[in-house]
Amino acid sequence: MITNLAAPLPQSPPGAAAEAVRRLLDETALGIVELPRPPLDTLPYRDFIAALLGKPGFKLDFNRLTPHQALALVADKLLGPGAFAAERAMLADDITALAQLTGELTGGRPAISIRTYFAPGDLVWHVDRVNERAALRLLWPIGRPAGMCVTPTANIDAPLHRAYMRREHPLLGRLDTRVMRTGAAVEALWAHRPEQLAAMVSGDFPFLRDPAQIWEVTPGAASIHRVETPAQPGTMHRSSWTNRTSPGFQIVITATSDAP
Amino acid sequence: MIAHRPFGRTGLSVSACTLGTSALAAPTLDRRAAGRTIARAIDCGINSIELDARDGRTADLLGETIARQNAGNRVHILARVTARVPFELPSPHVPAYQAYPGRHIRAETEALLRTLGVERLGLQQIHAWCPEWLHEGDWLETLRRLREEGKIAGIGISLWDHDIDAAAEAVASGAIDTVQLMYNVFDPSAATALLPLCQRHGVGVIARAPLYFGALGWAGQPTGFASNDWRGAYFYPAHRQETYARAQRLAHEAGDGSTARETALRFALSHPAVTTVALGMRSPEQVEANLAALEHGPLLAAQLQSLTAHAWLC
Repeated sequence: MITNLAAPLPQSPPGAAAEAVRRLLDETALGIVELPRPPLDTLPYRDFIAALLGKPGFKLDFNRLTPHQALALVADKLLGPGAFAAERAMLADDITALAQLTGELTGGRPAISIRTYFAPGDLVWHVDRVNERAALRLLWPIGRPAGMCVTPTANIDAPLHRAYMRREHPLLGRLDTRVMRTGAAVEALWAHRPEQLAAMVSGDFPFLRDPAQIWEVTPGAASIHRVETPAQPGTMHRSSWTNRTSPGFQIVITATSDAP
Repeated sequence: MIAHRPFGRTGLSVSACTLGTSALAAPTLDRRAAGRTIARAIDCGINSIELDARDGRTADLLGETIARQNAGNRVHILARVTARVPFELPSPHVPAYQAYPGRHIRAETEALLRTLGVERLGLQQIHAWCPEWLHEGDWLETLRRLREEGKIAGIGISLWDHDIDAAAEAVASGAIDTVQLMYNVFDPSAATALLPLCQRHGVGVIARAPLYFGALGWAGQPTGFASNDWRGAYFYPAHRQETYARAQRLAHEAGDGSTARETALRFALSHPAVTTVALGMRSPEQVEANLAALEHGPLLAAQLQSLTAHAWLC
């Protein structure tokens, strides 16, 4: 896969107001804005993250828990009661700020989840979908070697993508479940599907028109992208093969709204 | 005559082969020829016919043919309700009350009974099944009432192709009588857990696409499909090439293409949980050829074992 480095993704300066981020999002045809974050080894909660990265394969939807409550739950359970109390509070503060930004961008309540497992289905170009009118998703993967790749919707042959996903979507869902439950290698689980596996490794799928029209979010940065709704197109994206063995600690915040 | 089997908890007995009608819906297919295909199937002992309820043209034709054959009491229509929301993929984001509202299910069922001229449908099925729907909406309550009123014999769900895991909770719940799913040499994954689960719970199974939309019977690599054949989009060039290469490998092992086709059909009927194999047929000759193949019965264990090497859509 050739990553387009000539034209970087639009970046929002740290601490930018929601209105400014919204403007950037509206201006970009790709439907994504990068939010630079400090490198992992400079984060004050790097030891907490490192400890969580040593516990691969978990996922938690916060639901009604605050970030402080949710991280306390995770840390207590996985790392021992009271572990990293100060660090997890700082990370919770950062997640709270990002959730607030995401919520302000759509006018909806943000839903937060964290996970340390890799879903191989993310290796196939796709859009995230919800049923509400407006939706955005913030993704902050910490400790992943590669950033999320995006491509313009026009770079995807839509009928071919539809046909591909009609066949592959349930198979990818099953693969995700098996990887989450067993931790088995994707290569082993799909050894009987070499063509589909090769596409996931390279990113070069039959429905991709031009492999040069791909942008990559800076590894370690957060990004906000459009989610497909009945009222708006979503941002076409995929993960990189290199992430499958180092999925990192992923923070996913989705905000939706039905307001006109 | 083809064997008949008990159909889950419906109380019906259906033929081991079901006539799939999507192939008969093509506007280019001669109506009289399609009618002859249906009539031949009924004459040969096929007593179950699968129907997409939105396919009014085929429903009309079925109604005429059933009346002409005086077969209203011996043919069971296994209908699929039309979703109120078009699906590109199964979507838990679309709640059951939006996709299949009870009022819509009742209206469509009753309209279909009138069109077909029958008193009862063999089945009414919810297609593109999402596990979340089991506890949503009023679809189940409506179908139960229709069953009590004698307007349908059974309640079924129909799974999206390859989406085998979606059915487990519904099967175990006792809420449904049948499951329709894709089951063939390329995708035998239902045999691992779902088919045994259906056996344990007395749920009937309709195995569809035993030839993977005809591909396991391709005599040569198709260069294209008719403009109104949905398979033209589905089998995009890379998919077509890979499918053909894999079908050729099976044919090579089987000895020839015709034996491979027969093997594929018999494979679908070999699992004891499978009640009936739903197969699209476009001519009386295809009906006869397919039934002749199925009459050879289930494959031997060694044959089934050797076919595991051909699984790739799982």
